[in-house]
Amino acid sequence: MLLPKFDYNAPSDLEEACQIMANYGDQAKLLAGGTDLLIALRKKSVTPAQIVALDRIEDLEGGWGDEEGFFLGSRTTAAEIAESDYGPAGQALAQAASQVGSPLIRNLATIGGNLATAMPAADMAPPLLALQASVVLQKYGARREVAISDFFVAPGEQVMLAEEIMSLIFIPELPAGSGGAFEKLGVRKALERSIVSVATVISLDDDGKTINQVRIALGAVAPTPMLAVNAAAGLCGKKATAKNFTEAGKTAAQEAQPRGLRTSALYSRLMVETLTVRALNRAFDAASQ
Amino acid sequence: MKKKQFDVLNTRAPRVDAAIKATGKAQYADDLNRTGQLYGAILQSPLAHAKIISIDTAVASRLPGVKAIITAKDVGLTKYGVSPARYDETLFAHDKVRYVGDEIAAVAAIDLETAHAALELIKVEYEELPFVLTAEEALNDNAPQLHDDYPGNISAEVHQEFGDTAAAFKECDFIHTHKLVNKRQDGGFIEPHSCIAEYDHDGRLTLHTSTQVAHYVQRTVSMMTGIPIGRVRIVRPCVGGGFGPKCEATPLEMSACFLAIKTGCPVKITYSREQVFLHSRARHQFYHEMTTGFKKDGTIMALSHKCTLDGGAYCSFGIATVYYAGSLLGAPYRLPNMKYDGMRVYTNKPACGAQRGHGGVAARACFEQQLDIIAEELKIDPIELRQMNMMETGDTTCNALNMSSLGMKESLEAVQKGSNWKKKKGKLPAGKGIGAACGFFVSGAGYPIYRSDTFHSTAEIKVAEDGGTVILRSGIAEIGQGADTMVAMITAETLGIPLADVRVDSGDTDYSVDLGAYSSRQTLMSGHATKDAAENVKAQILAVVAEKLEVDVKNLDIKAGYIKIKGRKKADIKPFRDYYRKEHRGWSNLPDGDEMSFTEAARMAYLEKGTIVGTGKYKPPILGGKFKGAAVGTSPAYGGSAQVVEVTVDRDTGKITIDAMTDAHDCGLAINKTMVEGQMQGSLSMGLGEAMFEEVKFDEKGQLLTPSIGEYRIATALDMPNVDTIVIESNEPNGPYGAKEVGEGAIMPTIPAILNAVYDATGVRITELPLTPERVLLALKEAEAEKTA
Amino acid sequence: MKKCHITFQLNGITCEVLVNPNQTLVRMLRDDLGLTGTKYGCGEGDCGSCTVLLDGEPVNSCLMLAAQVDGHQITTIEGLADGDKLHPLQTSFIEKGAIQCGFCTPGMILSAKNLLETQPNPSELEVRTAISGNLCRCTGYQKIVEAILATASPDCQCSSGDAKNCHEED
Ligand code: FES
Ligand code: FES
Repeated sequence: MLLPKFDYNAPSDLEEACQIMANYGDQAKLLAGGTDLLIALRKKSVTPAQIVALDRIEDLEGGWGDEEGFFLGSRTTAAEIAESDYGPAGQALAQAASQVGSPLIRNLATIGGNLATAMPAADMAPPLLALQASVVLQKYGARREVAISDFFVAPGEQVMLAEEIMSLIFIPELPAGSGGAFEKLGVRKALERSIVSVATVISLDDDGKTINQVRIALGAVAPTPMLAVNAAAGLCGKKATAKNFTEAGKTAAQEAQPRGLRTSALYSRLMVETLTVRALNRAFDAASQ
Repeated sequence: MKKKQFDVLNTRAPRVDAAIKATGKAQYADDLNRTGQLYGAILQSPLAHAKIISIDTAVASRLPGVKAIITAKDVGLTKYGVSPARYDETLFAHDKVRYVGDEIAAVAAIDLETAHAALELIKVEYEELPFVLTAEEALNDNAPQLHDDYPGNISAEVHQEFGDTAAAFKECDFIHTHKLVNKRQDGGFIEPHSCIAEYDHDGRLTLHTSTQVAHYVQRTVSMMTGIPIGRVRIVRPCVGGGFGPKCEATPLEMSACFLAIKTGCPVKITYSREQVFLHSRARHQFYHEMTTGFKKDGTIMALSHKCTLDGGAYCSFGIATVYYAGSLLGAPYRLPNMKYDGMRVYTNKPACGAQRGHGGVAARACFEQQLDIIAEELKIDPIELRQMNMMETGDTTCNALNMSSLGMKESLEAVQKGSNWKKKKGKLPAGKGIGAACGFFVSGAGYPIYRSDTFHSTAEIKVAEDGGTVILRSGIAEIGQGADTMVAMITAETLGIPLADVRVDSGDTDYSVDLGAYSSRQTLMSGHATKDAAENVKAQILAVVAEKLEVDVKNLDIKAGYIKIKGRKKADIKPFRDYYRKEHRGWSNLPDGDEMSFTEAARMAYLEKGTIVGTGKYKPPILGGKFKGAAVGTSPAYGGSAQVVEVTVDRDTGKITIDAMTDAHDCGLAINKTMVEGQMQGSLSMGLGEAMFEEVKFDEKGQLLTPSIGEYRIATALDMPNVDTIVIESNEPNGPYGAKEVGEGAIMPTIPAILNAVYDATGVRITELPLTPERVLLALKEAEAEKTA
Repeated sequence: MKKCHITFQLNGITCEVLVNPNQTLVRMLRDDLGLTGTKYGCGEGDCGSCTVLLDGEPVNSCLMLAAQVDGHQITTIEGLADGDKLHPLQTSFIEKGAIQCGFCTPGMILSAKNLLETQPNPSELEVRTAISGNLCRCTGYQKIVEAILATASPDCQCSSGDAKNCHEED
């Protein structure tokens, strides 16, 4: 119940935050929503000397779009995302956000934190993978953009350097006729970590039937959230039919690398198949609107 | 027969403690603080089974801020537990530890940080021992042994036979065997155990603690510390739920007491959520195998039942649990022949104990599925089959339980109607199912936990000297179920005064003896004691009134706060009224009208006799059979319940949604209808949780895998359907005003009703809980494979 | 560890505290400020008994550092009643029997308060969703849901088990 000792920093802008992080490096931990960090501190699985809270940095909040796509501040909460309208494809992200933990947790948990914690079951990772999002990482005097597909390394590990701060998430504009969906399977209806989650984004040709591009992202079935590349490739250029979706589900199930930790690998794969088909159907419906 | 009319009972009066709880003013144990208090922490074993070679507290005790460290050396090796015949625990392990979490030492320090830091500085040298984590392993010939006194790791064994099952099976047309295994449960109360102990220099110990059983805690603390029982006072503040696991004295409480004695300072200790799971004392894991025999016409002939309980490292309530697992199948169906072989086994895990529906929940889940299986075979509607075999008021079971009132038929009828069963059974679309089940439970254990002729409950009612208020002092355990409100209502009804004029002070061992909140005993037993006390007070007051007014006391009564005089139109109350008014010159709200108010009468009685105090008591008559173990299951009364559950099964994921639950419970007279429904609804959610989600898991080394309430998964508001609760009121001759239990019996039918509904939806019987999506889907796949093969 | 100097609104009153950086919000409220109406059931965001309103929105106070509330508004259960007048949700919880052990009650009422402010006429599903982070082991949620729905539409006379029927017409 007690937290280890640390000092608390609450920089008021990104520049100051970067400076602090440059000073402390891996001595410091960033505090975004805190829903994962406080538990880790309590369990003493992290014992930083410094906590750098991001909540006073206004630049990290809210979202805005331009012709290239949509930017989201890394401190945007799951509750805010759940209530936002990101269009027929982006709704995959809103759906995922609406299933994070509980309403109480959603009011705290941030998209940046959800990604940086890098849990295999992170709810908002699959939709961002399927949306081909990237994240902007900033450190004192430098800034880089990393595709979400290159972001995760291992359970609890991603590519961020100790002194880096995630400032933005960028979701590129998708062609008209795109749609997305998110499916999560948990034991209870709230306060659940996913057993399996799947996000899909489909872009249709002008005929409204042929799949121009598609991405299928899987959560909780590999050391990191992952794209089912083969399943998606198999669908490209094909018609959006039940048969093709079933095929894609089967391929995705093969691509998954479940470790059999919380449920058997067999069950995880079966669920990848089922949820992929469901998500594809729903994404197709959204794309057809 | 027309039901008796009541002024206070049988209403929906708001609880007497609702306002303090709604405003955050209610104080639970961890909310209490004392000047100069120290904070305690407990060192627990990291190993499942190990010899303790040495314990070195020297470095830890030198840490600034540490005030005391205690180990077995300081507190001795007095054995304690729940049942005196099975005392198998010492406060601290001295020779060996038996599970991950076994207590080794406790620290008191100026703050929690320091206490925790000190724990880390205590050096314990262990020699690891081989361990057993399942009942099956524990029963192996060469299994590591937990207790020298209990060879073979057998904690308790029961062999009972009523009637002649072998002969009965020969007469049966149909015999079926069914198995079920549930999972180790947790109480899942939201308030972790907490306590604060104070010791004064006159040798008096006061412990405020989150408990269901202040009385037993008092006895255990007295026995362990050697402080005479009169100097040990246990006070129960508000309790954030108990459900069984708070039914025994804990190492937390005793550590706090010893530390308070040693330091002379108040010591507060609160369990972390993980420690709640480590302390456990909740529902066992049961392995049931039942063989049931029927006649063609649907008559139940015999049950042969084997059960193994995975008990964990100590006995706790286990001996009662293993008996209950058998005896509670004696009703509510006529079952002339019953054989039971039960065995509770020690394993290197936290000890299991009692939890809502003690011992009977998994057994009921297995048996009620049996009934459905047989109904299907006989092509009888499962509700019809149950009705055909249902007992009635006045019946006695083969194991000598007397159904002094039994509204089971009515309950089953009510849920059949309420759920629209006839329209649905067999007619639901694919993926949907409906299932029914029944259950029953004791209304208070017929015997105390230790052998004694003690009263099970006593109560004391004092009338405030100003006459306006009645103060009930009772040892009862208000743990959320509404015990305070129940006794307040009985007091008000009995005395004939408004509920608002009754104040309840409860949960203090100084007030009265009450065995506590377990075995659904409080309404019947504490209710009786309260009624008795109130009658006593009433008699004292009316005696004075009779004398003063020169009326025969037989013609006096109190109703709605006024003295009623039979036979004579008017008594001359004027002199008394004038006197009262003089005494209260300048006051508003003075009594008016031509009847004497209770306040005036009570004041009159005080002026005549001094403070008016009435006491009451209750103990059940000698009940039940004479065979070994007959005490467990024997009760002055039994509550019954029936339930219908509707489910949807997602055949692609295995995920089950509970769509509707219709529950009926016979609680005798419903003292408070809202509270009765509340108990039923809470039982449904706990049963649903056990059926669907809940499981305490361990890894291969005996470490908890589910140390959080998030991993353990109790039902959220979204997992619960809107439920329909129907209150059935029989008239229980042995209960106060005809009342009996509702707290536990209501959980009995939930799990089997869900299992039967899942079968109805899928055609697959699942014999292991909980019904996680994975378990369900794999069972469906397996059944499919079998069909095609 | 350098103490943090924070200023925030607590139940409408400006509050200035020197707090340890590793102090969680729930512990500051309970241990330092004596507001024990905010409960502590798990410390991990699992139970919701520690719910407080942060700028009007319900959050788990065990998942926040006390220092984070600098400049913000916090409402706890102690801040709900207006003098001797209970908040309508409190009255409704009392009357509908939505309280048993009461340990979840403060959190439930605060989550419900936020719901009714953002959605004055919620459906049963919206109510259940809004309190889905607040666990209750005693009530099975039925009467809590009824109490919240009844606060939203005080004219509706559902006493027991009727929430569904009563609100289907809405
Ligand atoms: S104590 Fe904060 S959620 Fe349980
Ligand atoms: S009333 Fe006890 S947890 Fe909700």
